[in-house]
Amino acid sequence: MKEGKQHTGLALYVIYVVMLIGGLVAMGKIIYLQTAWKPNEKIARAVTPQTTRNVIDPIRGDIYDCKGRILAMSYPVYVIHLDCTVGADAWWEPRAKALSAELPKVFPGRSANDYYRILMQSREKGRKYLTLGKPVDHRTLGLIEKMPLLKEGRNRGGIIVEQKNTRRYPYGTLARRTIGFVRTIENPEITNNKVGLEGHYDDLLKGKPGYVWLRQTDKGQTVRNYDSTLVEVVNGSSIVTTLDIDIQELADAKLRAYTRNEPEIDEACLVLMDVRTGAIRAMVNLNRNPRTREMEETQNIAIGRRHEPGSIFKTVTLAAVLQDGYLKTLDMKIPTNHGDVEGTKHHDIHIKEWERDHHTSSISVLDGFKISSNYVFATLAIRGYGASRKDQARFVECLKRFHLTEKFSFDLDGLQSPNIPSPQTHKYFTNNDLGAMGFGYSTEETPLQMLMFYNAIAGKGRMMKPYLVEGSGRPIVLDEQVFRSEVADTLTRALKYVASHGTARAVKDAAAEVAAKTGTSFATFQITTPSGKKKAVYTDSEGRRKYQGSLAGFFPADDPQYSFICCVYTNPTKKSFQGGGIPAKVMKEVIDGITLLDPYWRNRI
Amino acid sequence: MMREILKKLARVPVLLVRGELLLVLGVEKYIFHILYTFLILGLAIWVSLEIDTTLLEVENNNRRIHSLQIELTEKRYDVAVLERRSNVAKNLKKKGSAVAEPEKAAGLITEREKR
Repeated sequence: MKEGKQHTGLALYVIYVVMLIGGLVAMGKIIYLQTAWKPNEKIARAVTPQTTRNVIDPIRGDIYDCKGRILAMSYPVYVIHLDCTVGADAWWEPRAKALSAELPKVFPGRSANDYYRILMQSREKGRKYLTLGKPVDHRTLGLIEKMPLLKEGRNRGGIIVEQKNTRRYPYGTLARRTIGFVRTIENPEITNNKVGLEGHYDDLLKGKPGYVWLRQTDKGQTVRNYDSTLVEVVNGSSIVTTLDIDIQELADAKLRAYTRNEPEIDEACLVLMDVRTGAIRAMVNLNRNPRTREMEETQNIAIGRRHEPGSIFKTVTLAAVLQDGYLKTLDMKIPTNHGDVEGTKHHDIHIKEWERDHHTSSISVLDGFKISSNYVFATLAIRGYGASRKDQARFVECLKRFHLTEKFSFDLDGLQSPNIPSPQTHKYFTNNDLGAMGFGYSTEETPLQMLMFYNAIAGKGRMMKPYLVEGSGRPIVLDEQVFRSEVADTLTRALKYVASHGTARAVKDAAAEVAAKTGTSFATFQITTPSGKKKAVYTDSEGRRKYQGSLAGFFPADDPQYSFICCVYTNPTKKSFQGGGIPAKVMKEVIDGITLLDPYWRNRI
Repeated sequence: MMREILKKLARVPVLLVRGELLLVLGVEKYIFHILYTFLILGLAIWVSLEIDTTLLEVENNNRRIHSLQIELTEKRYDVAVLERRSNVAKNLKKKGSAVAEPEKAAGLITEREKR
């Protein structure tokens, strides 16, 4: 018995010693592994749970119109790739054939046979990243993911789905130049991202990317690693514009309708502004595509095209002489002098017609404004400011007070600076230049700058800064009283007269009474004289001219709600585009349309 | 003092080989603590696995939310396109509706002023 116990004790003791040795070996191994051993990198990577950094792209902010309608929004699209190396041939090929039969339904343009050939060739070449068709939306992705082979998932079927954010514009090409462009996977041809509001407010719209760390669970699934650092993604901010997309559509349609059938017209623009605030409600810019001959929004003419404004600048001259007290009444008569402006080379042939038709040798300022006489306005400028260089400089000073000599900060990049000659900057400044400035030549202004001036007349002398994006501190008053309210009243009277009896009669029958001025100027051609000098002329060798026809004003004349400018620019042509005829016809229809849209014109029953 | 410690340490291998080390140290008094420690370790492993399961569910839900947000974006876009005035007119015409753009400004019914 005692012997048996001794055997049992010995056996247990042996087991104990074996386990003790095993334990010590294990401890020694652990110490070795923890301190001295270095694993094979490939094996370590394969067996260590993966931690990966996942960058999260921010969602670009939306752009809204003044009534909260979306003008531009971020829109996800998916690029579908196929790893053609997965699975055994016998398993893969019948599924690839079935997939080829389905693909033409979502990617038309290729037949099932074409797709099958491409898939088989890609399999032979061992392609791991075959891109299928164009980027698709979420709905189409749902259909694709149910197709044969692809429904097997990433590991078995080889489908690789890549999400990309693109930009969509629900209103298509409306105000596209104003809204701008963003380069995305759908339009890689866009190289200039700094266009329109998208470009100007890019920093605000684009947001900031963030990242999180992902780890693999013990079961091999990927989850977020909350123990690691992270950077929260900051989505882009949205911006609310002042555009009213209904008015934009109306203005766009009317301007297109009148320019489409005039092949000589190369460019056109129309800007409509809220009188009280300076908020731009519509900004249409049309450029003729030389290839398709269609009008498209590719350049912002309203801010980027600086040109001699022509007769719409006569209102500025009239405002200057009224403000400085050189003209007391619009009924003041000045001698016609057969159209020769005293002390200058200017000659106005239309004054002789006036003398003949009215059997008179004088003309009132109001009539001069009505017929848009260059003679009358050159004379007014010279009589008021032509006595000395100091007086000439005072005219330029007056333009400065009207904010017509400098550009202002604007919500779009590319606003051109006005070009105003001055006796202080131009050594050979003469009364010829002053007279030309009086009727809108020798100066260069953008349509937007001229609109700002006309808006100040509508606002009884209060000049508002044009703006496109709502925000704190807006609207901005540039000048509380750029000219006296009496001057504004007199100018309004003159503009109403032009719209009812003068060159802007085409807007006479509009649904709201309009105060407006037409303008025509000629763009110059650069020629080289026989002596080798370069010279600017208004007519080319074939007698053709480049017209710039404009209409600027506001409505309703007695309680202005909107101010506007509409300009058209022609290619060299022998056809006459005098007197802002097309802009006036366009504006008449736009005004009629606005009276149906804007609650201001509701009839009280 | 130092000599006593060294003497005790010298006995450790002998006690280890004889299987008496734990008894000499009196570990049996802490058996419940040891069991409790094992229980805690077991619980920690179980909780960790449960956390992974929950995180996985969170990830799946995030994916679903993301997918729904994309659907919402697509619907917002579709609605915005349909809302365009010319599209409304086109669709009304297509449906044979007599409703069209107004030809005169809307009337506003106001209360008659009391005399």
